[in-house]
Amino acid sequence: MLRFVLGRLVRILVQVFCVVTLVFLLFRLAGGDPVTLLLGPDATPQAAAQLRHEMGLDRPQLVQYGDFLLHAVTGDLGESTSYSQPVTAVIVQALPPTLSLMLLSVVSAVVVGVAAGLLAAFRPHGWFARGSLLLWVALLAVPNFWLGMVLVQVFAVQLQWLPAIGYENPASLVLPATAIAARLVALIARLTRSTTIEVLGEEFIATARARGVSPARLVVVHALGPALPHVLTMIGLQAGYLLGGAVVVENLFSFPGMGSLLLSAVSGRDYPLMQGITIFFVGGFLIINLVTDLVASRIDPRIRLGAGA
Amino acid sequence: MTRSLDRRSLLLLAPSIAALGGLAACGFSGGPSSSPGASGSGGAPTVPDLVYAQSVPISSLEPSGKQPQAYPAGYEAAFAIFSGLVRFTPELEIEPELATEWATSEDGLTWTFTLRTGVTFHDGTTFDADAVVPYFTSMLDAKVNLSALSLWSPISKVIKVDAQTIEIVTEEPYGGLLNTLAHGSALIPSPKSVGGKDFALNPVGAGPYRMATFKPGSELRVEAFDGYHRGRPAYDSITYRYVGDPAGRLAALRSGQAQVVDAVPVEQVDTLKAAGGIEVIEEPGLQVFGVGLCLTTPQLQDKQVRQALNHAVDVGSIITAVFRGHATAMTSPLAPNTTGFVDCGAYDFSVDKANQLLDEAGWAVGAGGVRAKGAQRLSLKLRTPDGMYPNDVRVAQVIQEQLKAVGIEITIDKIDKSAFWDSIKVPKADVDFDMVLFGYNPSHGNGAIQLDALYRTNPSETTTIPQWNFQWYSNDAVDDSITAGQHAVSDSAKALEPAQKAIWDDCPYLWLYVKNNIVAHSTKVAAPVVLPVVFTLPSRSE
Repeated sequence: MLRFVLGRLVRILVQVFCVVTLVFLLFRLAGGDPVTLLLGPDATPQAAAQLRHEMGLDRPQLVQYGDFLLHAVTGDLGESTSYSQPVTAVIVQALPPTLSLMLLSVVSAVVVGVAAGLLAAFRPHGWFARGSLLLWVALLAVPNFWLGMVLVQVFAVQLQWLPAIGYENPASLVLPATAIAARLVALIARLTRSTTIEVLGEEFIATARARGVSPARLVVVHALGPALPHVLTMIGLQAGYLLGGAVVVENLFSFPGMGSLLLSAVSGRDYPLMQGITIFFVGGFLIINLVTDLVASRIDPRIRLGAGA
Repeated sequence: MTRSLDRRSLLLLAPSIAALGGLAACGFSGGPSSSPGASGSGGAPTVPDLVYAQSVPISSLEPSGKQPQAYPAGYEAAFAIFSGLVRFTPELEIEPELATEWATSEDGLTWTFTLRTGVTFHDGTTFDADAVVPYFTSMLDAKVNLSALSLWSPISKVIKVDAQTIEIVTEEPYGGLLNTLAHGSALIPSPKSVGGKDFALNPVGAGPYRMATFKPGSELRVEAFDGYHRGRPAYDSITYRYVGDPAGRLAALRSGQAQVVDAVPVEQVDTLKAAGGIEVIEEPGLQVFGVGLCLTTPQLQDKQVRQALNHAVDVGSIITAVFRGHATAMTSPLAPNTTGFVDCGAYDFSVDKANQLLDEAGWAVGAGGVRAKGAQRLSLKLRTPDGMYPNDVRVAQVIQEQLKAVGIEITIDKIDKSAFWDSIKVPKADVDFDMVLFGYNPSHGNGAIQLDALYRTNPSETTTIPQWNFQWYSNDAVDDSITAGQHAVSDSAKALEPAQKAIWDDCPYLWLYVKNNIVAHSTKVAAPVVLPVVFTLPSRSE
């Protein structure tokens, strides 16, 4: 077990290293000069050259890359050029909003999705099951930014119940989290429904039924267990969607999190910040997957970790 | 077995819910809660805590150096926190701020400023010559003043005469001095705060509002400064909040989360005007847009061809169709509100005239309807940024269509907005474009400085262009007239008239339009001052 975790962590490090190297190269190939953007239209070429020198951008790229790696190993991601602050400090400020948004999205998606899936499985031919199937397809088809815009129009502009932008109080989380969670709810509900229906068809369920266990108890107690590992694995797989959704939805709601930060870093050609955010995003994605794998194996011992996993 | 699994999964969920609660408790801003609809209660005509949703984030505040970032958001907030010696009126005239009066010497080289007495900075430091002279002197240093040195370089020294009097001495007469002093780079910080490590995050000035909280990139909150020399400002606090998405800004305004928003998209103006409780302010700005015609391109070296382009494009239809009327056609290389502006007439839209000029220049319609002269085809590459200016790519596409009608083939070369400036600031040999859609906003409002930046002959062909003459235009008479305009302490329009008329006639641009600045505000607050220099200043609602 420990060996498995250590092995996966080493692989995560290698993967993060590869992606960061790629990002380092790609961002520089994309063109654009942070200095021109920082100094604005009235700056002299001398001032630009001087700032470029101060920022170390006049050194050969290989030297800049080596320098970045050396510092990154010690946990120093450099100084953000647009914020004039250490990259880690800028990222630490943006993490809590994004983490709370992610957590709320995932937790509410699991609660709502599993409940809806179980209900649908309970009476697979009832009106709820039929109606909800349609709703899930709709939720899967709707892009999160569009859903976000509709939610803002209805709940912020028309009804004025919830804030349209920002991150001020728990209410600020509701609309963006709904926009992100909608797709997850649909995926989780469908998955829960199908695995539960499958389990309900197995022999031990028939036995339990014969022993007089109530149908509700059957679904909740006997069928939920086998469904959960699948749900967890899927959340791991959807981590990419969550992070990508954060970029789109955070921008839509002017939510001061990692997604907004990434956009501003890219448009300002803030190389150190872009590299730092990449490390967090890629690392986060891989660690979420590791954790969901571990948890799933914990819940369902049939899932084997280790060799080749 | 199943039961224990259940419990385990619940145990797994519990910490994440707890963590969520913890984050929510510590993560939110301590600012005033601006729950929608709560504003304006008690029948008060104004909202005490104003929220201004800005289209650009403020990442750092420092009047000198590379800050305040970014433009114009940083300056808008800087004008609330700091004061300068003089300031712009909404008509772009100069009025006293921390200087009460000023005078110029006979030779125009020495300016004497009398400083206001009884002014203190937010930290209690007294404002006097010692707060101005060392700071302005440092702004003459290329190592300190990174972003606006071209505005300051005509100054040779700043002298303290006595505690309330300073002199600014220039090498040559400098007509743009007052514009420079009204510019964001001339805002004066408290001498005690300068050079501090966190100055960019915690600035101290003598403006109407003092710094309260600052989250770079997302939100800046300032609070009323009771000691402001014009008296306590209108609001208890102003929050500058970054809302990059135009739809988000409008939603914030309509839901009552913000009272002022800038950069309203032209498509939304009518909807907003129809909505209750919202006023739209629309003023012609200073930012001029055109398509630079590169004189490095052989086909464009002929003035007749460049003039033909100006006749072939219907600027009026671009303004109506793409900007829904929220722009003005140019009649000079400068916008009408810019100091020194002279009306130079107009190139009337006439396909016949354009065809005639092209025929005369020897370009006959050839294969595929594209004009050609010998082996040369009138096929040009138009570079445009994508997303830097309002509707930039659409404007380029309209121009492409309209030029097709007179036998000119245009290929559009879209460049990411962050890489755009870099792609046109190159040495002459590296020019890889024929035409460039470009917009210039003179944040100083001074025509001489603008013409100098855009049309003065570049000093060297082997180095990167120093300013914005990317089309490598060169006309000695124009250079002389620009110099005269820069030296003209009064009536710069007269000195700049020859330059503007010659440039207008030479057509180093396909002249397009002057953009309107469109700002919207809730009727619960007074109209903010909107300077033509693209600044929205709720701190100065007058």
